Amino acid sequence: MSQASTAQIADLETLFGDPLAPAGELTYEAILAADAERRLVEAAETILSRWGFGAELVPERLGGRWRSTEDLVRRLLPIFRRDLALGLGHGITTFMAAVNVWLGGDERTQRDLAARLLRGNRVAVCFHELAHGNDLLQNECTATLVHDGAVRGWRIDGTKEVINNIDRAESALVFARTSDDPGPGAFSLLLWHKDASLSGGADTGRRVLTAGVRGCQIGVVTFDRLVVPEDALIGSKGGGASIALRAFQITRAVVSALATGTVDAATRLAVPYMRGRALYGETVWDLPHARLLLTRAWAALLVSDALARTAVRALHLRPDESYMLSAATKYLVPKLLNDAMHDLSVLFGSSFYAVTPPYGIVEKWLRDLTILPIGHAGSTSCLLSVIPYLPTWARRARKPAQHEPALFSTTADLGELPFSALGLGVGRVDSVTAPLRDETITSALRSAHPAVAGLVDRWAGELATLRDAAAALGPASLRPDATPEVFDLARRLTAVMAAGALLGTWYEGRSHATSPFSRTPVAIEAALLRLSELLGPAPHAPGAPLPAPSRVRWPQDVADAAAAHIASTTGAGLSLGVEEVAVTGPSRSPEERKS
Amino acid sequence: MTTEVPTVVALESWLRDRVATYGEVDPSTFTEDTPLTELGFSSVYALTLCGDIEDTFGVDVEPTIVWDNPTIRRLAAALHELIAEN
Repeated sequence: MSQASTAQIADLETLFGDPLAPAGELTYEAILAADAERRLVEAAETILSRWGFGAELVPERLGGRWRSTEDLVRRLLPIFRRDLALGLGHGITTFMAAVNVWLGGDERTQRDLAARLLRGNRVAVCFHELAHGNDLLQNECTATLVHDGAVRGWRIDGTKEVINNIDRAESALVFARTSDDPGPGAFSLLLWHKDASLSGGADTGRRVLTAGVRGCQIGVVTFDRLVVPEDALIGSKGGGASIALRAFQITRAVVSALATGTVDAATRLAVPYMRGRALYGETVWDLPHARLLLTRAWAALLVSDALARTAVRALHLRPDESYMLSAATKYLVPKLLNDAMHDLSVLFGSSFYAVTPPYGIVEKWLRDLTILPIGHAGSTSCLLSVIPYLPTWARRARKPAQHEPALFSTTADLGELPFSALGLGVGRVDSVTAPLRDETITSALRSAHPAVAGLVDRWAGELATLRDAAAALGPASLRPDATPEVFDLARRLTAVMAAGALLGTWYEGRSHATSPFSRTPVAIEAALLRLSELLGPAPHAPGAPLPAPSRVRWPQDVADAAAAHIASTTGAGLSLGVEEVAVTGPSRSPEERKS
Repeated sequence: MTTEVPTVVALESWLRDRVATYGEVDPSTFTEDTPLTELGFSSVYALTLCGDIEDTFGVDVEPTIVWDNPTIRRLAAALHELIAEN
């Protein structure tokens, strides 16, 4: 932790305790029982309220605990290591609303919201209209300035759907059309405090039943001539899209980083499972195929965490480059994390599918994580955020970019987030791919890990290829009706950014005590192999026979060394990811616990 | 990259050329006062234009400059002011 003040905040790992303990308030059994009844674990919500969850979401400047966004992620990870639904529902959706106010609200509005959050109030995010998916600019909900005698206010009409906490939240942030003009300048943000409505009302009682995150109270709000005060407007009239697009940069990075916690816990839970379950005359642990599944999940976690943490730090250090980086992160990280959960689900097999204690939680995690690529920033909308910037990015990525150590280091002192520096552009250079172009870093990696030297070259080549392809795109090809080939370029760019983040994180972490890259040589090799599964076939000479599809071959010794590291880290009571730090379970199977 | 501040007329002419190229429209079919949205000038083009402005004139611009100045005439004036400030 970079700040002395954070040392005084109790660790949620300790407050929540061992999720595999026979009794406890936030055990896997308690979480599963609540999930079956479509509620959150009430005791856990009480713990979080007493702990001061609301203060986490308020910048230090306004009296809260949020300074370094990476520290914020660290403090909230214990929630996501146990119950993603609790994290979202308690939760992070209030954060998603609040950042819009920290970005666009005036001083009085910010102070008022800060006071409410410090009291433990929630704010719902009323952006979504099902008919329009993530296409915010097609939204139909309207806000009209009305005068009724001395009373002036905004009348809100329309419906917002799939809104977390809309019924129980004390406030809601509404994205509404305030002009008939086409284009992004027609929308505004209104902060509706339910205790300050002027007239009319809204029906918030209809619940939406979802496949995952069943404990979240997700609902529909239908506004019925609700009038909110004139000063409910956040920022300027017509500034809603601009504020929301900046806010997304923060939430896309933070949510991705938090979600790695769930896969961290699932990967660690696999260790006691594999050790304890006998199959084919041996334990699951003894099966090479099982160890490879475990390794692939861990490697995907490492890549995800490296990219997500870099995106989080970039909010502080390279805010002008955060637009593309956070969109790329929110595309690739959910995909990798869901792929990792799929690998683990194969590993847990019938034990997860039959929801067999204590491994039944894996079934819930699998369901819960599928919300990630949907949410407020769906995978396709994240690629659509990247696509229009491709030619400009290509030009910026040609400029030399200095390797910025703090961007890739878990020990960086990030300070407070410079909200006003977040923009809607590409930035001047491309810092996240700088490590791929830095001879010191690439040659250090090649010589320390000759086995993956070829992959380092492939990613450096991929960056160059992509720059040329992106530079050749005309504006007409960058619209939402872009061809699959253009979508593919955007996808490849997200992977190149992950490669840059991974190399930088390896370089900065390779002699740092809590980094997996200092603790075992296999960490970077496994992560690079997993990432390289996303590469297309190697380039080949015209006329030559077509190359084989780029199937990455996993040497068994890599899988074995990785599995050994996962087991020893889990056994030592440490987390997995780019920081291996003390956590409370799960590390021992019920059988081991008895002995 | 230029250090001299281009005139408003020069900026209008440069913008006309960009808008015609992006939207693949004939420059004779619109004026400096035609709303850009009528020229199929979507938010995607606004982003592309920002990149081109930054590379050509060396100033950082946000796509909101296009949202707030929805014609070539207004955009050229805003751009002129911005470049002069730098």
